[in-house]
Amino acid sequence: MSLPERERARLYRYYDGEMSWLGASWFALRLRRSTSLRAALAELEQLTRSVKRVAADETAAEAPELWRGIEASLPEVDAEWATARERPPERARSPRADRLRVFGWPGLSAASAAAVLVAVLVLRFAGEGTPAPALSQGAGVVRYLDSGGAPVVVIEDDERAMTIVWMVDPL
Amino acid sequence: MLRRCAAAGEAALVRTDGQGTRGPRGVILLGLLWACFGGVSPVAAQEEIRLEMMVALTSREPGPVDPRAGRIHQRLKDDFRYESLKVLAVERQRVPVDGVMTVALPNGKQASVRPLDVGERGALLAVDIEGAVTVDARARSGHLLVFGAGRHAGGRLVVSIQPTFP
Repeated sequence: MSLPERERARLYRYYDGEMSWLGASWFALRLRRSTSLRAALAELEQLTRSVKRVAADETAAEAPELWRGIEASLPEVDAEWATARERPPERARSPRADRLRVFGWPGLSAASAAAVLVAVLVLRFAGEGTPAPALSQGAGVVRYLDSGGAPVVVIEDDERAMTIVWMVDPL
Repeated sequence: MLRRCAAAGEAALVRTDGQGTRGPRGVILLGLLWACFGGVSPVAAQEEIRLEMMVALTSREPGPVDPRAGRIHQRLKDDFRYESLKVLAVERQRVPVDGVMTVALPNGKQASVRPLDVGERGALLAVDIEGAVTVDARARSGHLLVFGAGRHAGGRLVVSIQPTFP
């Protein structure tokens, strides 16, 4: 997401429902016109979904050591990765790919599919004049994450009011 | 807010049809429009927050867990393997929105936080742990952000950030 910092902050405020009704409507209009803004919003949505999926993963939550749980799922991941490489690009996306993106494995981003979906949602509520908070229900803490490609685990623990972003060692 | 916006819109129609918007009426109208754009949000006026940054080191060597890192330990011990947790530095500062708080890490790098915005859903923080991760996060007051910042001295560096604001 290569937006200027100010623009990024505006996008987060919009996503979080922090803007006033008029501000959000104005921003929704800008979203309709700006491909880069829509792509950034789609990435944000994708990241939120991925983080939630990881946080809800019972295997990771119940294992005494997080890495052991991840390690156990790697053969399955490898198999999916091998299958995905053989498929045409538009069919290579899978729910697992969302999680891999959080962990930092390259090449399986589902952002383009999410961009289409989110752009449709944005255009729809922009047309009806619905304020932005409709999009932001249950948004998590992490809005943007760049680990330079290194594997990272994100744990959002609402109960303990804590978010953990942990770099893990590659195998 | 919606009603106030609608009211402001009606007022604009009535007054511009007639005598224009000069004088006190114009000022009131402008004030209402400003309110519509969120200018009177009670938290928008919040210009600085308190930040606490802690740098700690986990190790697989047996040893104590620093009580200052007790809250972090209670959560980390379930998911990550280590035997001791040593706090290396704790710093607290009041940081204005768009200001930067930086702490030096023992590996020669640094960690910095920049509050971008404070709203009803919390403070938007841009965090840069040099050589590890760059994260933007919206955290409520008291929410703890914990970063595993890579290996160091046979252990693993941990940087925690806790924003506090009214």
